Amino acid sequence: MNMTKVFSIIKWGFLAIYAFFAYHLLFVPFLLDYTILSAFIGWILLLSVVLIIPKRYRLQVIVFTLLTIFTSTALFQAGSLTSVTKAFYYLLIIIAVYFTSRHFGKMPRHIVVTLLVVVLVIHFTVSRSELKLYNHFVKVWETPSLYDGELVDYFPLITYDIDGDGQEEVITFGNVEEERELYLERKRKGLDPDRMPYDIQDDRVFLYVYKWNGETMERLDNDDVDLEKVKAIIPKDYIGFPYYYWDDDYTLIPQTQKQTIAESTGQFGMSSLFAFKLDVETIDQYLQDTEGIYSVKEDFHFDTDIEQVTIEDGQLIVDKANETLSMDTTATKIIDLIRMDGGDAIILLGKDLELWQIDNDGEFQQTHVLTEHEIENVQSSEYIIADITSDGLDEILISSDKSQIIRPANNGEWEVLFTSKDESLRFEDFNTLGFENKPTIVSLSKSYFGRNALRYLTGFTYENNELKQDWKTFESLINVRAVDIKGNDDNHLVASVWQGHNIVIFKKHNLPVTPALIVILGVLIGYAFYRRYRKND
Amino acid sequence: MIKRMFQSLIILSLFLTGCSISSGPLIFDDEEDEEIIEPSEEQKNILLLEEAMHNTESNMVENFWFRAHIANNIEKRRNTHMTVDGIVMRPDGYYMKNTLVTEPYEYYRWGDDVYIRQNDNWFRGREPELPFDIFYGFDQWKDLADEAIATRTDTVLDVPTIVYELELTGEEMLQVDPSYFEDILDDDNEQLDNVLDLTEVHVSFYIGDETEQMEGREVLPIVYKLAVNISMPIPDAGYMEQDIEHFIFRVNSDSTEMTEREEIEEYIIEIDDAQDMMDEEEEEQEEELIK
Repeated sequence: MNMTKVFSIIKWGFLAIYAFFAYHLLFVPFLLDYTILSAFIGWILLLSVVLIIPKRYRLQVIVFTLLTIFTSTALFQAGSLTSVTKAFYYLLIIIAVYFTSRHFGKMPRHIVVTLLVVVLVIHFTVSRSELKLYNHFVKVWETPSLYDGELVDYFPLITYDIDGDGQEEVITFGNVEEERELYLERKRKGLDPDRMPYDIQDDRVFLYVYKWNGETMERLDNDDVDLEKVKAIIPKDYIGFPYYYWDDDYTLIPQTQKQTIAESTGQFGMSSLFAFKLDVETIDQYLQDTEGIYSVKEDFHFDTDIEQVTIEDGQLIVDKANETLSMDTTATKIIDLIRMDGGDAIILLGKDLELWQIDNDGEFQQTHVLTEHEIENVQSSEYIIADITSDGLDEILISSDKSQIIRPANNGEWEVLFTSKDESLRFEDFNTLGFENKPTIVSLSKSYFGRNALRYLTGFTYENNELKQDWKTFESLINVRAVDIKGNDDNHLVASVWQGHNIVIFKKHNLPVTPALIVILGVLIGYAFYRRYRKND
Repeated sequence: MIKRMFQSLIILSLFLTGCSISSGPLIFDDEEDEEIIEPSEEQKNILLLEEAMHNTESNMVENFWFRAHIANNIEKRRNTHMTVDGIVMRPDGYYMKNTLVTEPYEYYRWGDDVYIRQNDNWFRGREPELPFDIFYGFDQWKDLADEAIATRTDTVLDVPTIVYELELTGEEMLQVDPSYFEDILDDDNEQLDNVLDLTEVHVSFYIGDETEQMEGREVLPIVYKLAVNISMPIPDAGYMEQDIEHFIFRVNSDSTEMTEREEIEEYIIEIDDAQDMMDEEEEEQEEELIK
């Protein structure tokens, strides 16, 4: 093989690799994220690049680039190479590409072989599911789907340092590893003469606690987990309420049966009475589990002399080092404490979001309230309390239909710092990523382009009524948080896949992937210019 | 040339990295309430809730379609079960399609015979727990008819109606039908007292407004819709918002037809066969697990 040929293989091989990554990490995000106008400008730019390529290579370059992208997509669609049928599909794809490039693209054989080799290597080494993250992250770990069933679309995902060693554990629910046991349980029930084929049944799930063992995340044996501690921090989640009761063992127990539901809700006057009865009976079971305690919180996001806040049977109880204060309340949930002008306050969620301060006489004073009037769906909104302006005072990040960032001002007024213009923005966490010092608002936001409602993982910094985008990937996830799983202050992102029940962990890299791809594009254009105007070419 | 190219590249890269989302108006979205049209005195005098309840149960209503749903919202979790386009042919038959959380099923009843369809199979149901009367449970509300206030006019699928509303606490809700709630009432449970104290129930009856006739269709002085909203305190999760809605349409329409019972009988799978089927299915599962 002569040197020109080797050189040519290197050049075309590089183009293939570049085309693949540029397509997925530059071209697609660009189309997804910008307005129709900029997408149009993008197309024009691309067209002009095509025109710069010297005429005698133009067709080759275009066909080569498109084939690289199409072939990798075709192989991806064909699936992983696990059977003879799949091997046949692969062979078909390769033959089709070979003939298209040889006859339509007029490419010499060694270029075609380069294309196929590069595409196959990429296909077997680069995971498609991670690809979209590569511009800012690398994947550290992923679970398979942890739940086999159709009843639940997502489970809570919590991270907490259970054993206090500085490493946070990842806690969720699933049943895949316990399948066998569940099968035997079902079989026993099959013998129950009262069971009808259409009856709904128990659905048991198990606690899945994962911990970093130095190399990877490893599931802990539930016998080795301090269950009392874990149960206390798992947020109450009313899966299937009121048709199911999620008991202390994490079994979803039916509270009624299909026939009863059909008969009771089909009866005009009965349906609300039926629903109300189910509600009360199911709530009663939950209250028996908690012994009447509605909410307890002892970890707050800053140091305080408040040791514990409890809501029990209509009473708010605040434990301080040397005194205990209490008052009547209609609230049911303690959100957090908040640092504001004029002292700290307790944030409660009842019918409204309420802020309560304790004055010098030990009396509770309501300072602020946020009602349905200000925020639509106060109940179903989520609240993160954090100091995003770094002034020592906290803001409230509200994820709701119209997400907002607000902070309590004087005289019971609220100051609005930011209002989302669309309905897709959600705030997930406020923390540092990697070894960075500056915390990021980890969010999910939609692409600017079109009406696609998918929410993509985005990092923002708040500045002067604007959310400045630090980074964005086109991965769609839920329950995202930045967590120190390794105990070395290198925060990773932990998230789950909606309806997929897998947990993913990834780490931020600081490689300038997008700028590098753009610079390489510039170099390629420059090279095309050079080839075009070079004499005797 | 090169310089210009470089400039445009820099602009392009700025474009790709330095974007931000600007804020909308820095105020709370203070939506104005929908305009309420209050019923006139004449309308109120003609349409009495109690009378309408009575009419609904009378043979003024022969057949109709209905739609019902119960939606529970606790924080961001929403559990719904809904019936889509049920049909009632008085005095014997009713049919409904239902979805519980994610599982669809169908219910068919003729007199006291019940059939349930799941995964494309019809099964014989258990003995029904409630008598066959689609308006069962209405009597219980009659005592409260005097307390309901006509507040506004509205439509139920184009049918003009007047809305009577009622506010109850959890405790009062139990008193609507003390025998149905016997277990809860007998149980001396202090924990529940707090829940019931803080519970608010909002009931709306939609009564056909005879004073406003519709083209081609008769508006009957009956209850077209019953909507109940329950707000209940939930430990560590704010308040549950539960919506229960039930409305009827195509009242006495000629197009209301139900599948003949005999037709369903043909496809029925008896419990013994079903048990065999289940066993087979489980054996398959076992084989898969062993693999």
